[in-house]
Formats: sequence, C-alpha cells, structure tokens
Amino acid sequence: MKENSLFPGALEMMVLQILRSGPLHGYVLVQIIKRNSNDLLEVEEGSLYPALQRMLKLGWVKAEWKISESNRRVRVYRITPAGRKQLERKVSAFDRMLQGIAKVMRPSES
Amino acid sequence: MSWLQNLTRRRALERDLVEEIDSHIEERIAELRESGVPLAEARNRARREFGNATRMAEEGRAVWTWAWLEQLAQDLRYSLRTLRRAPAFTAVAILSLAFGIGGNTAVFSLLDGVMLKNLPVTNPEQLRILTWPRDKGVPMDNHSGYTVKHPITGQLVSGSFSYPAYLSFRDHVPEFDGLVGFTSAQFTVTANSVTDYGSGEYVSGNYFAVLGSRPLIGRAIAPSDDGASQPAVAVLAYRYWSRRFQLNPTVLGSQIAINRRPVTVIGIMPPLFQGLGAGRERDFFIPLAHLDVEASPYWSRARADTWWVQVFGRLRPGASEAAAAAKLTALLGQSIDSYAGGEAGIKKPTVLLSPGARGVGASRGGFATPFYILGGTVCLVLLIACMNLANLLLARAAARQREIAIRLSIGASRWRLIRQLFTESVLLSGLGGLAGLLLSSPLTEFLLRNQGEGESLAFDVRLDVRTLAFTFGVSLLAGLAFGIAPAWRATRLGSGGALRAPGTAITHSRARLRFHWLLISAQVAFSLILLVTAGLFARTLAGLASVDLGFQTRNILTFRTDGSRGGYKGAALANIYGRLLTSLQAVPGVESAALSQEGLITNSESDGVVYFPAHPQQSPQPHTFEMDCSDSFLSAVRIPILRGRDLARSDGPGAPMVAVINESFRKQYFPNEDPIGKIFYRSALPLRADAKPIEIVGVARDAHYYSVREAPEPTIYIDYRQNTKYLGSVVFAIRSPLPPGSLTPVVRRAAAAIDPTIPIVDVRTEEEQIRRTLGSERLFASLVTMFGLLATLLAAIGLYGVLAYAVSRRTAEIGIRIALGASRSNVLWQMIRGSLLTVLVGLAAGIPAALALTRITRSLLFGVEPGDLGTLLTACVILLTVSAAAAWIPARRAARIQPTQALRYE
Repeated sequence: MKENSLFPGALEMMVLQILRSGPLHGYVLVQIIKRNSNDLLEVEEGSLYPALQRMLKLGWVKAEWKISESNRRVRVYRITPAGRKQLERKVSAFDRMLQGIAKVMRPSES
Repeated sequence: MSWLQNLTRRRALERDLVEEIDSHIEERIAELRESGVPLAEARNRARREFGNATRMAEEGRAVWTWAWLEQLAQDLRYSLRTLRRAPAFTAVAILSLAFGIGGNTAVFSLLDGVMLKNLPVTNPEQLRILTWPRDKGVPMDNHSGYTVKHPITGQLVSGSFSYPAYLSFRDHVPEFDGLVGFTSAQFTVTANSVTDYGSGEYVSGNYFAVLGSRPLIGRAIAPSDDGASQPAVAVLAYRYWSRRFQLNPTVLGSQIAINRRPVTVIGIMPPLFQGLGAGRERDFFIPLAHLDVEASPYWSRARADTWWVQVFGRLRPGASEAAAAAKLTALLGQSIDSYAGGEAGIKKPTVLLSPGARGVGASRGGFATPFYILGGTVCLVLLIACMNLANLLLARAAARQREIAIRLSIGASRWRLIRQLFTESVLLSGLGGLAGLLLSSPLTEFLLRNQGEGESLAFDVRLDVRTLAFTFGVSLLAGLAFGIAPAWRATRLGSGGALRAPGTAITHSRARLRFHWLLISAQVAFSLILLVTAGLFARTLAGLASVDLGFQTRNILTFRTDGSRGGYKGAALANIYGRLLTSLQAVPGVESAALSQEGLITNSESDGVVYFPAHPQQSPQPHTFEMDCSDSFLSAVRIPILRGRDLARSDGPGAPMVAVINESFRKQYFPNEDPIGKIFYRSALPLRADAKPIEIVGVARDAHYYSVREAPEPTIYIDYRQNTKYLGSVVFAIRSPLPPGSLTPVVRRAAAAIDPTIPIVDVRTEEEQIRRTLGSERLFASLVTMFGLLATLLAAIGLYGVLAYAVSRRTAEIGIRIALGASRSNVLWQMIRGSLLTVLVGLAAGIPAALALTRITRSLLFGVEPGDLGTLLTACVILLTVSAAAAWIPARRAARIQPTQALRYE
C-alpha cells in the first residue's frame, strides 16, 4: 500500500484496529489488511514496517520476539492503552470526516 | 539517557527491523512454496510484493534518528571530500573569504570597541552623565571641561559643575545610588628616577564604589581617602603599570611623585578598566581632596562660580529619571543663587541626564569618516569575494550537472540536493570565517595603532562573544549569499536535459553564461572603486612624501620638556632651558641643539596678530604664525637665511627685540620694500601697554610649520628669552649623526643633572614625528591598496575561471568551427571579445560609482582630487590589463583546439 494512495495516518489506524482483537506479527498484519480491503488498496507490503516503527516510537504498540505456530521467530506487536486511546480519537475524527464528505457529496440527504 | 545508551538502543532497533523484514519475506516465500510456486519465482514475487526492502528499512530507521542531523553530517563529509578534490579552488575560496570576513571582523570589533561597547563596570546601563545645555546667560567666573553635542538632542552641552554644586547633588538626590565627581589632567610623574607625563583623574572618594570596580591588587580609593588631611594616594591603571613599571608588584605601597608631591600607590586596576573616559587612556586616579590647586587657578573646592567637576551617577533601579533631573536642576539653581543671586538676566540651566553606559568622551564621535571608508572597503571586498565564489561555484555546479541530474532522476529530492550544495558553500564560508578570525586580530591591532598620530587608542577590542557572533553571522550570510544562485541553478534543469550528450549543450551555453558575465562585470565595477580609492591614497602619500618641508629632517632627534612642571616660571624657566641647551651642545657628536615653543610638524602652532606702525591702518589686523625659539633653531633645522641675519646669542633678555620673518611674511606684508629694519608690534589694537617694538633683522626661507599638508604661511621667529611671560613647554631639536638610541640616555642624563623633576617626553626623531602625523594617510593607503589589489586579483580569477569553463564547454563547437575553416586568431579574438566586453561593461558601471563614492575621501586626500582623471585611467588600465591576461590563457587554449580533439570529446 503506497502511502500516497491513503490519507496520512490511515495505515496506522487500520493496524491499531486489527491489533485490538489480539497481538499479531507483521506478516499476518499485512495479510489481514490485504484480505479485509479486498485488495482494493494497492499494497506494498514493506511500507507497513516504517509505520510500525513510528507507532513503536509513539508508544501506541509494543513489540516482542516470539516463536510462531509455524516455528518461526517472529516479532509480535500488541496495542497499548495509549494506542487504544489514539485509535478512538482517530476513528471518531475519521467518522466526522466521512460525514462531512457525505454531506458535501449528497447535500439532499442531510 | 546518554548518547551512548541511545546509540546501543538504536543499533538493537535496527537489527530488529532488518531481521523482521527478512523474516517477513521468508514467510511469504515459504507460503508461496507451499502453494507450489518454484523457489526462484517465489523469491522474486515475495520481494516484488514487499517493495524496496532497503528503503523501508531506511525509513524505519529514520523514525528513530534525527535524520536531518545525520544527513548534515553526511553532507559535511561529502562536501569536505569535494573541497579536498579541488584544492586550488578551495584555497582561493578560503583565502578570499578570509580577507573579506577578516576585514569585516576587524572593522566591526573596532567599531564595537569604540562606539558600541559598554564600560567594563557593574550594570553600566544604570549610569547617567549629568550635563546642561550651554548658554552664555549662565553666570560663572570660569568653565573648564568638555562641551559636546548631547547624544540624543544634539544640542551643545557642558559636563562641568562647581564642586559645591556636586556636593549638594551627591547628598540630596536619593534617586541616585551615589554620584561621583571627577576631572582629568596631565601630571608629571617622577618614579624610577625618570620624570614624564601621565594622564590622571581626580576622583571623589566614592568613585570606585559607585562604578562597582575592584582593583586587581591592593585596594581602590575609598571615601575615607578623600580628605585633605589624609595621606595622598593613587590607584594605577593596568596599562600604565605595565608601561611605566613593567608590572612590578613592588610599586604597590611605594611612593612616587605626582606633580612633585609624594603619593603612595595603593592599588592597581584590572586591564580593561579605563575610568569613565572612553578611549582616552587614564594612567592613574587620585582623590579630589589632593587637587593640585597650583596647577589651575580655577580648581577650587570652595567656589561655586568655577565649574570644572564632571558628574556621573548610578540611578537607583526603578527611580524616576525625571524626578532626579528636576531635583538636580533645583539644586543647581540654588548653587547659582549662592553667588549670583539677584543679578539681572541670569539663566539657570536645566540638568540633563544622558546614558553613561559607554562613558564620557569626545573621542567616540571623531572616527566617522575613516570608519565609513574602512567599512565600505571591507564590505566591498567581501561582496567581491562572494560574487567570485558564486561564479566559480556556478561553473563547478555546471560541471557536476550530470552527477546532479543522475541523483535527481534516481529519486533524490531537489530540496535535499540544494541543502547539500548549501552545506558545501556554508562549509567554505565557515572555513573562510575561521581564517578571517585569525587574520582579524593583527588587523585590528594595526588599525588601532595607526589611528591618528600614532597614539594607541585604549579601546577594548579583544575578540569576544560579540565579535565571534558577528563573524559567525557574516560567514553564514556570505555562504548563503554565494551559494544560493549555484544551488538553485544546478538543481533547476529537469533530469532529462543534462543527461544528454555534452555536445548538445552548445545551444544553451551562451544563455547560461550570461549570469556569469554579469557577476564578472559587477566584480570589475567594485574592484574599480577600490582601485581608484587606493590610487587616490597612494597619490596622497606620494604627494605628502614629495613635499619640500623647507627644513632638513634627517639626523634630528626631538623631545618635549616642560620646566614649568618643575616649578620654574618666566626668566627662571628660560634660564633652565638655556642650561639644558648648553649642556646638550657640549655632548660629543651633537652638531647643534635648539629649542622652540612648538615642535615642527606636530599639528600644533602658535599664532597671533601684528601691527605695523609704518603701514596705514589695516583691518583685519595682519595675522602671523609665531615661533619663539633659541637663536640656534633656524641653523639647527637648516632653514636658510635669505636676507639680513639670523637670531644671535646677543638677542637676549635685555637686548632690543628682534625677529626673523619668513618669505611668506615678507611677500604678504612687504611686497615692494625691504623688510629689514622695519618695526612691528605683537599685539591686537589698541596696543597693549607692555607691547614692545620688534625690529625685523632677517628673512628666512619658507618652511612648513605645523603640518606637511599646510603650505607655509607668514611666520615670525623670535628669541624665546625675549618673551618669557608665556613660556611653558618647549620642544628640543638636536642635530647629530649619532643613532637616536644612544643619544636618548645622554639627553635624559643631561636633563636630570639640571633638575630630575623636569619631564622628558616624546623622544623621537623628526622623521618619526612626521611619519606619525601621517598615520591615517598611511593606514588608508596601505589598507585600501591591499584590498584593491586583492579585489582585482579576485576579479581576474573569476574571469579566468568562467572563460576556462566556457572554453571547456564549447570545445566541440570550437573544434567544429576550426574544422570548417575558422582561423585560430578568429577563435582567439572571439573568446577575448566576450571577456573584454564584460570588463568594459564593468568599467562603465564602476566609473560613475567610483566618482561618486570616493568623494567622501576628499578630506583625507592631499595633492589630488577625488575625481582625478589620471588615477581613474590608471585603475581602468590595470583592470583591463589584468583581465586581458586572465582571459588570454583560456582563449589561447581555445584557439589551439584540434578538430580531432573535439571529435574525441564527443
């Protein structure tokens, strides 16, 4: 997913949303995003990693090395309370934005 | 967290990231393999889907670092490498910047020290100088001290008050945390069996306490010292301690004689302390209670009608300045009433408070013109250096076009490239600034030492934070100034253009070069201004050196002495001088010894009006310069007698008064008659009762009197023994082939044998004396010439650089032309023509600018006018010649291009 095909912060929001239901490692995260978006979003898998680094730095997620079911050493990310708060803020802001856009696009329905 | 921990943590983070990315790709490969994709294809697909792993890792890493800082370090390393690869360019750049920045730093630190810097005392901003607007209606018996323009209102103000007025100020104005009174004077100082002059300050006892200044060693003057019954004490300034006592600490507690009175040295001030007189060197400080009232009849501590004390105060924080001024004004009015109360038409002045943070002193205002010239010169040099560098960098940037284009096309952002090019130029200017700093200290010293008449000014011009900040700012600005155009242009073209073969660049080379030529023209114009200025000063110096002074300057040693400081007056003083003359004449190797009331070429003179009883009434009264001297004077300095006789031994105190006049005097007042035997009086009309008739006995050839610049004017020479009433200090002139170094101790011994308290000062040869009076002319001539030549050299380097660049770019085109039959001289001329045109444009712009700007030098010139055609032409010819030489080398290279070579180039 090229950054410029999404609005800023969208990738982070999706990652936080997915991590809310449980810790995951990078590869799985990418697969889920790809599947959930029905491949609508053009994907460049690697761009997930800089985003994860940013979130680590901001303290929204934590990471630790674990052994996966396929017996592979993987780095598992879990959402932190700060991450949850950020997600709530982001989602409500996102909702407001969508509503705004909807009003502009279909003024009759408002 | 320490940077070390930070670093280890960052290493770990990077390792994690790289491993994580690898693991991601491995997992994808494994998954693809499971669904039956062959290994090679699985690898390719996994990598393609992932995207640029290196860039992702880098971006991830960048999250944790101060990316810009690392890039800066990267850029710096890269720039250093680039600069090292072009040592000639780098050397020229740093050197020219060093001169430009160093010059600016030197002038700034001078300006700062002289005009901007606060006194080195506690909270200088609280200090206030007390003054009052000068008005003839203010009654007083005498006023001494300074009268200057008020720094804010511009009106003429005086800074002197009476001592009783000062006391009432001190005791009745609570807005001040102390008010100090002081006055300055010249003293004779006898110490280490040498008597000479020292400039001192009488200060009130609270002086040092109010300034908050502590001595380096010993103690400062305290209020308890300021009583007439207290033993006399003095505090020395550091520079005086160093100069007169070689920093010998045993002087502390010892006695020296100041104006022949014993005074105990109690303390020595730190190096920067100069009292309140800015730039005027103070040698020592004495309590006001020990005022030498004999030295000036008006220095009275009791009388309110003689005003001579300068007053300075420290305003209490938060106190009202207006209230303080009102109280001071009322107190001054009361003081005036105490002696002039009830007199009609008197005026009581308002006391004004002006900021005292920079001290008092007329010396701060007098540097304007020289500063403008110096400042203008160094600014021009820096400007030229910047334009030159912009030009050279532009050429280099063009040569690096391919590199830059490639970097742009593989994804470097333009901003990043501009930043990198800027890093390079700022690095250059930083190095130049560093070299400039090294250069500025000796330059500042040189400027200070050569100001005025060789008297070193005592300003604080050390390299300090302000100067460093200035240099840093100038360097940064310079770097941005000369870096901006090259950086902009280098990155402007799209990535496509520059990747084309170099041969095709022929078409737009000319348009691109226009900017280069413009810069060169500007450099030429600026260089012309500097060269013309240099020429004017060089001609001034030459003119001054070739002036026939009318006397022989070689082998004359002069010194000033003042027997009145030893307590002698009138005839007794003349007698002392006579004895000294006789003993000096007896010294083996001394051809003759003479004295005169003023030294020759010392910028001081004595003059007055005369009256010729035989002439019809004249108005205005005839004016003449006067030189009271010994009868040996004219022969000693070799001013020949043209008619009549010289002064003689027999023209002594009791003999009839006689005078030798000079040619100018004769021409002006006796144009058609023989002056010998004529009578005149030295007096204004009506004749003073004691005015005696003076007979003209001889005519001497004209000789310069007080300055090299001023042509001789009517002058009379009279034996000093016949006019002893106003006899004071005199200058001795000793003609001897002996080296001055061996003569000086002999002179001192001879004087000490007569009276050890007579000061002997300013011992120097007449030639040295003349050189000193030409200090500022020499200073300007040498500095402006140096900078002018430097500027010309820079312009030449710029021209050479651009033309060489043009030739290298047009090798293909020229080769083709030659192949098509263009003659070599044709090619040569074509290359030269462009440069010539550029230089001519520069000259055309520079001539009016030079004519306009050099006008401010008029007051400093001699024997040449600012618009001097010869100087202008010479400067133009120099510039043309130097540029032609600079253009010749690359032009000849162009003419020698072989067609085959050009083809190879393709």
